[in-house]
Amino acid sequence: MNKSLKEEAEKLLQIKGMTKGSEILTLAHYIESKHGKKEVWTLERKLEELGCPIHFNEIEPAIWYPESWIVLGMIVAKELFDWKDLYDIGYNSPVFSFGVRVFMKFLPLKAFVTQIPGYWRKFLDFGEIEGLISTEEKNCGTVRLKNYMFHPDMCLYFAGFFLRLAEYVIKSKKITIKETKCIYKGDSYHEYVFKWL
Amino acid sequence: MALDKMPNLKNKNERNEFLKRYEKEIRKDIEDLEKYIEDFSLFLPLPVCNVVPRDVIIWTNPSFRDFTGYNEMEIAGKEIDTLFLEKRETELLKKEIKEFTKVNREMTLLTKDGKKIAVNVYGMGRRDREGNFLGYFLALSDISKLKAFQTELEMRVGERTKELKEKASDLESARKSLLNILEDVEKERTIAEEERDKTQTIITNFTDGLLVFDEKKTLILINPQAENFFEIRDKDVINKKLSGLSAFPIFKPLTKLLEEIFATEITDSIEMKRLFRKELPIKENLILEVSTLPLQKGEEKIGTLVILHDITREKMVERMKSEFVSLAAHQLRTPLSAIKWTLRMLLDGDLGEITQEQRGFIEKTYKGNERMISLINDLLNVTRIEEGRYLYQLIPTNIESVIQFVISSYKEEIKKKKLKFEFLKLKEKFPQVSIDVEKIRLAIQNILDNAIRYTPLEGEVTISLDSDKNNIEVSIKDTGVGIPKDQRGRVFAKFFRGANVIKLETEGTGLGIFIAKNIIEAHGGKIWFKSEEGKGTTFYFTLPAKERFEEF
Repeated sequence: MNKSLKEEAEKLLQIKGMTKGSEILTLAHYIESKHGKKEVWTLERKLEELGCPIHFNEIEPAIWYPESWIVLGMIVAKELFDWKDLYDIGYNSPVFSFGVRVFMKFLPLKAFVTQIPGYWRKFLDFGEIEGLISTEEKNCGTVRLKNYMFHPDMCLYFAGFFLRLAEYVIKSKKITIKETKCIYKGDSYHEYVFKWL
Repeated sequence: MALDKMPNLKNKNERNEFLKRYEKEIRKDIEDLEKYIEDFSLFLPLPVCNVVPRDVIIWTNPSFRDFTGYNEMEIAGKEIDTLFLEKRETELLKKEIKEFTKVNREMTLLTKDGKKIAVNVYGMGRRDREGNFLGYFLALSDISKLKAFQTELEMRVGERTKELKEKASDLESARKSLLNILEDVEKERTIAEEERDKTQTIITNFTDGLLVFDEKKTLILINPQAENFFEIRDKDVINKKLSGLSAFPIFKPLTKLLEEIFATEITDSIEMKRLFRKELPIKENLILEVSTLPLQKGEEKIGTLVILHDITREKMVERMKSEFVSLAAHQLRTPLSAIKWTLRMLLDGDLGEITQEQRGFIEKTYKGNERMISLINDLLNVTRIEEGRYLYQLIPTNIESVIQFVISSYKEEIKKKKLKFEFLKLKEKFPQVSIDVEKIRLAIQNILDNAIRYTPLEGEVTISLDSDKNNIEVSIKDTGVGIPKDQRGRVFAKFFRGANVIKLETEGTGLGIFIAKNIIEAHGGKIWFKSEEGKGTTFYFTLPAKERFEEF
C-alpha cells in the first residue's frame, strides 16, 4: 500500500464537513461511465483498505456524508486510474449530479449568480460561495469559495465544476476559467475568474 | 410523509426529535423520488433529454444515448443545434418551445457516427412557479421507417398520379374528340333538321300533290296539295295501306292505277327504276298527271313517290285549242277544196284555153293549195287523235299488202331520185293484224315519206318486215341526213322538224311522225328509231299480232 496515500486518507478523514450522498454518487457514476462498473468496486476495495469502507450502492442521495469521503475517493481514483488531475471529474460531475439536474435553475446569468450560495448550501454544510459579475470588465465573472480546504487537487475539480455550470448558463463559443486566488497559496479563499467571448 | 401529530414546540427535546424525524421522512421521499425517476428514465424507450434555457443538453436518458450514439459526458453541454440537420428548423423549434410550451416538429437527427435519421421531435418547455423559463424536455421519435414508407408511398402515389394524369390526358383527349364528334353530330343534326325543315317546307308548299308509300305500300306522307285534290285530311289516310285507300271513292282511280304500277314493279325490276306517268281523271274538273318514282336506297327500294300534277287547265286549253283547230280546219277545207277543183278545171281547160304562162302560175297555186289541204288534213288528224276519236275501222289485215300499197304510191318519186329501194320480208306467212287500214297506211306513208324526202339522190331506202309470236315489226331504213343528236328527244312531238332538214326542205308540217306515233300506239304497238346524223335513220314500229289494243 502506498504509505503516503494511507497518511493522506487518515489526514483527510479528520477534516469535518458534510455533503449530500448525491454528490458522492457522481464519483461512482463517473468511474462507471469512464472505466466500467468493475472499477467502481476496485475503488471501493481500495477505500476500504484505507479505512474508508464506502459502498456506493448504499449511499443515499439525500443523506449527508463526510465531504472527506468524496475527496478521498477522487484522490484514490486519480492514482488508481492514472488521472492527470481532477479537472475532468469536476467538469463532468454536474452531468451525473441528481442535485444539479433537479434543484439548479439555469436562469440568465445575473439571476443564476444570485442563487449560487443557496445551491452550495443545499449540497454542503460548510464553507460558502459567492458569485460576482464584473462591472468593470465585459464578459467577466468571479466565483469565490471560502472555507474549503480539503486537498489542493480539489482546486482543479472546482475549476472544472464551475466551468461546466458556466457553460450551462452563458451562451458563448468559448469560456475560460482561471483560479486567481488559492487558499493553498496563501490566499484567504479560492477565487476563480471566468471570461467568455 | 407519515408524521405523528404536531408536538409541543416549546419543549426543545421534543421539537428536535420531531425535526429529525421530519428530515428523515423528507430524505426518504426524495430518495424514493430519485429512484422512481431513475427507474423511469431507464425504462423509457423514448429518447428524452433535458435542455437548459440556453439550449444546452444537461441530461439524457439511456434511450437517447443509444439513439444518438453519444454517452452522457459527450452529450452533456452540447447545444441542440448539433443534433439536427435543419438549422433554421432548429431555431424555430427553440423559439416555439419558449413561446408555446409544447412543440412537435419533423426533423433530421444527426447521430454521433454521422447517420441521418428522420425523427419527430416533441418539445415541452418548463417554467417554475414564478414563471421563469427553466429549459425544456425534448423527446425523439424515430420516424425513418415511416418516412421511408411515406417516401415510397409518395413515389408510388407520384407514379400513380403520373399514370392517372396520362390516363386523364388520354381521357381528356378522348373527351375532346367525343365533344368534337358530338359537335359535328350536333352540326350535322342541325343541318339535317334544317334540310328536313326545308324539305318539309318544300313538300308543304309544293304545288303538286305528293304521296309517299313505303315498301309495304303504306301511305306515310301526304302533302296539303294532295289533301286538297282528294278532299281528305292526312290523319284519315296516313299509315293506311294502298288497298285500304280504296275505301275513299275519290281515291279509287288512283289506287287502281297504283296497284297496276306496283304489280308491274314486282314482275319487272327494270320497270321499278323507271319514271311512270299517266293522266288520270279524278273527278269532274280535275285531271291529274300521275307520276310515280321508286325511292331507292342503293339498290334497295324503300318506297314510292307519287307526284300528282294538276293538268286540268292544260287539258282544257288543249281541248279548246283542238276544237278551234278542228273548227278552223273544217272551215278552211271546204273553200280550199273549192279552190282545188276550180284550179283543176282551169288546168284541164274546162273553163277555156289558158296560156303557158298562165298554166305555170296556176300549177304553182294548185300545188300550194294541195299542201294547204294536206296540212289541214294533218291538223284534223291531230285534233282527232287528241280528242280520242281516231280509230273506228279495225279489221284483220295482212300488213304486207298495206306496205305494198304505200310503196306503190312512191314509185315515181323513188325512180326520180334514183334510190335503191328494197322491201325485205320473210317467206313464211305473217299473222294478220287488226288495224284501221287507212290509219296504218297513213302512219307508214308518213315515215316512208320522210325517208324518201330526206335521202339524197341514189341513196338507199329499205323496208323490212319481221314477226314473232306476239308482234309484227316493221322497219324503214334510209341513208338520209339523220337526226341531230340533241333533237332526238323531240322527234315524236307535234310540229317537230330537224334543224338540218329545214335547211333542205322548206315544206313539211312536222306532224307526220307525231301522227304515226299516235296511230301505232293506238293499235297497241310501239314505235322508236335509231339515227346517226349524216348516215341515216331507221324507224321501227310493232303491231300486236293479236287483236287487243285499247281505244284512246
